[in-house]
Amino acid sequence: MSAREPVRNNVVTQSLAQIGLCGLFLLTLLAAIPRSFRYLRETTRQLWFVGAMSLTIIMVCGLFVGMVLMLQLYHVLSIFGGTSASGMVVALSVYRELGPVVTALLFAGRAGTAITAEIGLMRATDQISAMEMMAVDPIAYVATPRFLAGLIAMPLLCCVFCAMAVFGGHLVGVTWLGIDNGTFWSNMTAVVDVRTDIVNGVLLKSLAFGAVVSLIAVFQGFTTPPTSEGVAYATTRTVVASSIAILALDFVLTAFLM
Amino acid sequence: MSQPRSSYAVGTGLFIVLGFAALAYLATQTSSVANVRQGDSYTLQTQFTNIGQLKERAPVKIAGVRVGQVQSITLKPDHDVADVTLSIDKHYDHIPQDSVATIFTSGLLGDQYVGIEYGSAKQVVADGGSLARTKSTQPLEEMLGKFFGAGGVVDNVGGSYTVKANFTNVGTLSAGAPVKMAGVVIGSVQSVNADPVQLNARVVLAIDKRYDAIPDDSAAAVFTSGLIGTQYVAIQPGGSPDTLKDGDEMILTQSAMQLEDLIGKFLVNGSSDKKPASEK
Amino acid sequence: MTQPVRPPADDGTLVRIRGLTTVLNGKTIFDALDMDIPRGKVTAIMGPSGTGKTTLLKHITGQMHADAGSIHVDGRNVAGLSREDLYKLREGVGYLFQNSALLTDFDVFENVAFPLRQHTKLPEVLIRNLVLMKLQAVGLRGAARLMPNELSGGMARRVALARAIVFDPQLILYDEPFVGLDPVALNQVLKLIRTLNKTLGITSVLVSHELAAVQQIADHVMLLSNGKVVAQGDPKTIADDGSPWTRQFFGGEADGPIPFRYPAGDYATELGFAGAPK
Ligand SMILES: Nc1ncnc2c1ncn2[C@@H]1O[C@H](COP(=O)(O)OP(=O)(O)OP(=O)(O)O)[C@@H](O)[C@H]1O
Ligand SMILES: [Mg+2]
Repeated sequence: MSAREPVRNNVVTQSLAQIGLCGLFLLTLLAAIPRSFRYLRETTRQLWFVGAMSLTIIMVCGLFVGMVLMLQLYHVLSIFGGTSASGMVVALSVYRELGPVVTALLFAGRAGTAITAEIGLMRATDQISAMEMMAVDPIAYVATPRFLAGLIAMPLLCCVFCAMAVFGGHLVGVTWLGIDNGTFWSNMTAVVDVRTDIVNGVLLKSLAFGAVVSLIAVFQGFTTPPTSEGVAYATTRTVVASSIAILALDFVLTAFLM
Repeated sequence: MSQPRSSYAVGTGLFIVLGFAALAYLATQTSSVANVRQGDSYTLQTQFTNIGQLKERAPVKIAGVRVGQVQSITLKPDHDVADVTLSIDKHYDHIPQDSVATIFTSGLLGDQYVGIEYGSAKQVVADGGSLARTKSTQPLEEMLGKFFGAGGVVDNVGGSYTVKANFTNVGTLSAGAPVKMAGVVIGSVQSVNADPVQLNARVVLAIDKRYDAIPDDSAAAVFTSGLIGTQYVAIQPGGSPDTLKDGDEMILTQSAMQLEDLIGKFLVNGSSDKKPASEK
Repeated sequence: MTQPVRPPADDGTLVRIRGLTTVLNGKTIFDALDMDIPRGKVTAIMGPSGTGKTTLLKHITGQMHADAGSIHVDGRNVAGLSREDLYKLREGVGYLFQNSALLTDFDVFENVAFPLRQHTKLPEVLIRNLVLMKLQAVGLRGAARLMPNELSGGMARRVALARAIVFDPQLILYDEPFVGLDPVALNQVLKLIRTLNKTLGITSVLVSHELAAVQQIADHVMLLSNGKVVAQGDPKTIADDGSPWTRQFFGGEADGPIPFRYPAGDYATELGFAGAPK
């Protein structure tokens, strides 16, 4: 469909056309949700692939982000004798910004590319046509379960990421640098608010990012020319478009939620 | 054939459970919801007239060693003292009844904690008992005053004279802040009050008697040490042959700069500094 | 369209194609094509490569749509069906893809079981037996646990065949089922197609280049070229019916009405020999 579009050199019009097609694709996806309920098992399977299989990288990265953040903050805050606030700053910056954003970027790299490549190859090898021929709607069977899985997996992954970051911060701050354990927690619990930081920060943001990343990944997979080159380009585009979308959306959400 | 299917389901289930466990952890353990109850501990009641920045879960220390934490801080409507409940490890159940609970600050801007200094009584406080003797936190202003007072040359005993100055804005200047000339401390701020008539801030400066040759057209300015440091009064000498006397008023004053102005200037300076460098 | 009134003439014809015209990328694939595929018979469609045989099958199943003309399958106009109705129609149609198109996520067993799992609520035991029966029929029961990437091309075709017939559809479209099969497997597959047709009365449409194989099972052969049916008849005799199309196609001659080459500009010009380009 997109191959027949007249080729335009203008990057702006091309991007706008992509966004427009992506929006239409989202409507198709959403319309297919009721039909995809019968493929619940497929959604579970995708949740395993995009969620559970991403756990390792998310946990390791979360741990290191928390550790390095604590290390940096400790040295800056020690100038003002405010090292006891570092646990709180780690928690706030991870919950509000780093957690959702870094998780989403990792998710785009780990799961988004896999989704795009998989769907692109399924199209290249006629698997999508085969499904249509077996009277199985590929949107309901392939696209929507992956979209839903991404939507569900992102907030959960983000929670794991944040928990690991706090753990990493605790490890460095309390175990290595000798910040008092109680101070660490008391500062954190005094400032971190469930509504603004955890619901609006961790959950809402990551839910939005999960929707955007998995939409882009599925869209790219379904619209790329079904060739090995097309799949390669689409995979790259998934990462680029997702990263831009995540950061832009992050700004908008922060402006609205703060 | 149901082997791979069910293993997906189990793995996915585990993943979901883990995700929700992490969420529950974030929401209950790291946020204000956290209501800490430790395993083996007992509680002590104390009362403070001023708890300063003390927070729940702040540490309780004996001889610098952590023995428990602050469980709750409450204020009864008809009381003018705060009730602070301490949760102490069962291990340390031999605290004498006449021990003193003090709110300390770790470092200048650090966090506050409750320190318990042992008394000499034979009787120990029991679970739910209370420590009657407490020392409250000292406001930062007093501390700063002490800090700079100790570090500076000014001592009321050595003799000082006072001059007045009116500022439209003193920022966070407080009593005890240093008065400097050419960067050297020559006195301290004695009081900062609002002037009921002129509707600005009246600051009384106590200056060491040794510096009695300050021209009377000198300017007083409220400066900040560093970007977010404490504020002090700087005296910029004028050229008049007459000198300031005890009780005189300084006419030329420069108020504290707002942080916004400061940052603005900072940025402008930064960029203008760069230009000549790049021209080279 | 809402009321599926079936023309009485449909009795003997399962697929009726009238005036089918399709242009792809400026090339006319079908040019007012008329075709009737009889119910309960094995019909072979032959024709030179690139003539549009696969495209024709895709039209019949509603995967592609014609620019003009109509296709009625079992009395229903394919182009006019809603998606639900189209899918309902497809449930009764088996399709063997030219390149197998097995689902790489699943092993052989699950590939064959896929249509059953999607459209029925059969108990696991029954699915298992049905799948193993079909796999046994294509000689691959032992390969049930292999993944598609562990299969040879010929094995993959047979798995795809098993998947196409697992539902016992009323119409099966085979796109080149004999490619890459050794003589033994070929014979098995031939027998299978014939059995399906004879015992269950399944209408079969067979796209193939192999006249010998076609002659063994097809009841009717159509030769497709230049967007039209240029010859049809009994597979045993069609090769010698005397028309220039059949003579060239079955004789394998380069000269004749069937163009061997895809339409192109002048050869010498394109190579740059005839004067300066532009
Ligand atoms: N999606 C498409 N877009 C444009 N042209 C196409 C498309 N699909 C097929 N064609 C063209 O349609 C023609 C018929 O293709 P088709 O695959 O139906 O041939 P075929 O008869 O099955 O050949 P073969 O025997 O080699 O399989 C070819 O010339 C091809 O270039
Ligand atoms: Mg073909």
